[in-house]
Amino acid sequence: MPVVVKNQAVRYGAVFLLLAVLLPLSGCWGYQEVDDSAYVLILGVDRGRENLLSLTAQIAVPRAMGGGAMGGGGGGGGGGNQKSTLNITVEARTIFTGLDLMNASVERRVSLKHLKVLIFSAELAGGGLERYLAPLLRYPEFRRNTFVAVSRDKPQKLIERIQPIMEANPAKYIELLVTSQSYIGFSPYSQVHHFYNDMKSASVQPVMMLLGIAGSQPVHARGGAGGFNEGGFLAGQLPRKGGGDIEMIGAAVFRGDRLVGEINGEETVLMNMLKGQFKESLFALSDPARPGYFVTLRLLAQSKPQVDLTWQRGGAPEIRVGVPLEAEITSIQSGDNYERPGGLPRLEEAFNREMERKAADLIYKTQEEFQADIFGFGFRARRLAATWPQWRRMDWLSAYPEAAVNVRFNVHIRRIGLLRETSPVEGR
Amino acid sequence: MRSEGRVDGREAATLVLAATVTEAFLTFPAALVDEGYTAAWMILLVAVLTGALAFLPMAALMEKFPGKSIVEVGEELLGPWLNSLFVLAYLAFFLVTTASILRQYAERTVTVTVPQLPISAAMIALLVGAAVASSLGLEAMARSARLMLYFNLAVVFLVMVLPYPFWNPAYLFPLWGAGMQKILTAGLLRSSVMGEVLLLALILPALKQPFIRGPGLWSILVAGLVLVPGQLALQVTFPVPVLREMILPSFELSKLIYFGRFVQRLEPVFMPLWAVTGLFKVSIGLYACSALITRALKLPYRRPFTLPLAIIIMALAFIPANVTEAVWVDLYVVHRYAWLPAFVLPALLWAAALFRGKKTASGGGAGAGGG
Repeated sequence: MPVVVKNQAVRYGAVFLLLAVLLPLSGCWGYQEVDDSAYVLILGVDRGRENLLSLTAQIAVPRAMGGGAMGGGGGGGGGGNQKSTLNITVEARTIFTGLDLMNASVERRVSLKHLKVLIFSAELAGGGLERYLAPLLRYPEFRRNTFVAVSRDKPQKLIERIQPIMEANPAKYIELLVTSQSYIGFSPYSQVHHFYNDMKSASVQPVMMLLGIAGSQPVHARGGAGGFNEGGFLAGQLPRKGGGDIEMIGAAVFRGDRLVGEINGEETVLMNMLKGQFKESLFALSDPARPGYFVTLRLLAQSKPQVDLTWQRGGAPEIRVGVPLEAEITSIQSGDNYERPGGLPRLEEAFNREMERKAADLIYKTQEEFQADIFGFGFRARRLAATWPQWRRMDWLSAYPEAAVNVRFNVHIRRIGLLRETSPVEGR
Repeated sequence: MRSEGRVDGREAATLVLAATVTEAFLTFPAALVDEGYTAAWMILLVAVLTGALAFLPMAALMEKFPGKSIVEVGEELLGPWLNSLFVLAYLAFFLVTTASILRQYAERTVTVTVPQLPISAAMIALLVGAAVASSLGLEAMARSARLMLYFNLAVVFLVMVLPYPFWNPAYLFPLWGAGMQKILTAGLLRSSVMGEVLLLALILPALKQPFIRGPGLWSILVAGLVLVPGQLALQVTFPVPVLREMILPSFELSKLIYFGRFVQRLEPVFMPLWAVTGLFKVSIGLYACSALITRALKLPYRRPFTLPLAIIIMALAFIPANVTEAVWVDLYVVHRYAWLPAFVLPALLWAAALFRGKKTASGGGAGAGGG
């Protein structure tokens, strides 16, 4: 009996010891409470006035979020009851020393663990971004799926104007804004992962989302009788009133890590289609029979584009691209009954020819102006090489501007909405 | 006592598997890309096939001497003095691979999760667990490994598959990467990664069935089924110039998982897998070292060696001056030449057994393995 008691005591002692050992495992060194951290949601990087870099961080104020507070914090302000974010700008030589400097005025430790968007100024991007991106990727708190954008305005001003209207949670606002491209198509889907991969790739050149402050760079858009193209703008140029202060339309085009140009919203849709990243978008097609009237189509990706590439030794590459799309008619302004058999092919034909013309213009722009394959045709060219050294010798990025590219669109209008035909208006 | 209980072949194979796949969670996949470019996955494929073939002489050797470990077999074939060199080579293999893994795991823990943790504390935490496991013995380790197998395989599968929105199969082209010759050469050298199968020859006396061919081939095959698709998953997600930069590619892969606002930041879910495989590897290494010494010196007890060996392993792990050196030693020394002790020495013993068998047969004596 005493032996049993002794065994039990040993067992209980062992269990107690094991539980005691668990305690320090929660972290004696370097522990950090959740409410000890200041989580940066947006980080803007620009060229500094007095130092090399100007860093602007929008930091979440969780206390205000819980109460359904609205709006962003003032520049460098102290996060009052109604502010769900706090903005702070510092100048520094590097991003990390800048973040460190922020801690001089923010009581919590500044953390990038919840960073949603990284914004570079166009000026900084023009000088090359590798020196800023590579250090971030080395940093364990940083994530490659962070969204990344170029701002046409000063990132500091842009971030100060980011004010969630419908959302109490600024992180949700940011994420919804940048992922809206999946159903608008006017922006590329650019996470650091994609940008960095493309930046280091010899098969494609990178693009980034383009951001701007509403009305900061207005253009006089006068379309006349035919109206103007809704996608023909860059961020900061949209002809509108009201709504949020931030615009996200178009894409920044890079050669390597340097910004070399911009494409507007419609060109971005085309780029996404040719790249195989298009999901959904609306398109106003000029009525083939009635100028000044439009047929609106909701476009959907049917499958990835088919890219066929041939490249004879010593010659220029020849690229043939087929873009299969599905469409649904959402409106026919003229009232002409395109829904009837024979009508749909006319619309499809008109759409295909118009898109092919626009695609040719865009490709010409990328070859002549940017000299950058933003469509990733190089991924197809890789298959022509057997080994990696062979592929490096092919030097696709230098060959792309000389390539002959032929694009064929092939849209199938599958659905016509809830009207099977349009009856004429009497007495007009 | 040297008796470690009995384990069946599947449990023993799981131990080998646990020790083998650890490399996939460290820098190894990135180093492979440096050697094979887009065809790095083929290097692993060649390494798996080479490992399986190179294991066969070891399996054949051990079948000739049922119930004996490779230490006793070597002594019988070569005599105690020459065999002691072989034993030292096996010991060096287990000591160096274990120390290397310990250092890398400790460094990664400090880098990724607790930057203020002293490296010694990270090592001690892992070594204490390993020492407990090693003291509990082979049976406890093997059962635990078997128990964790399906969970670990499921988690590995998820890490490979969940980043599929980021996949770009074009990253696998040009298909032949560095070229066939370099792939074959690198694959032969990298068969070292399958060297953990040597453990089976050491623990054979504890197996319920005294055959290691089945468990060995099973462990190499399943390790291949984890390592090769794992490498492919990395290569379709990151292009060559990016993947080769990484120090923890599989961790980067898990960090990348993003399915909208609600399903992201999943890497903490995969942390237990990372920790458990590291713990298994160090435990197995510690056990193997103590078992080798006990058998070589014909000592009755193994456990007294646990603590001294843990200290020696920790001391060895501290030899590289920094993490770069530690990774370099692991990638370009340990996992390039470990095939020598793991496969070549047992193959030499097998050749010696064949030679002795012929000799005794022609001399009319008893067959090899008789005792």
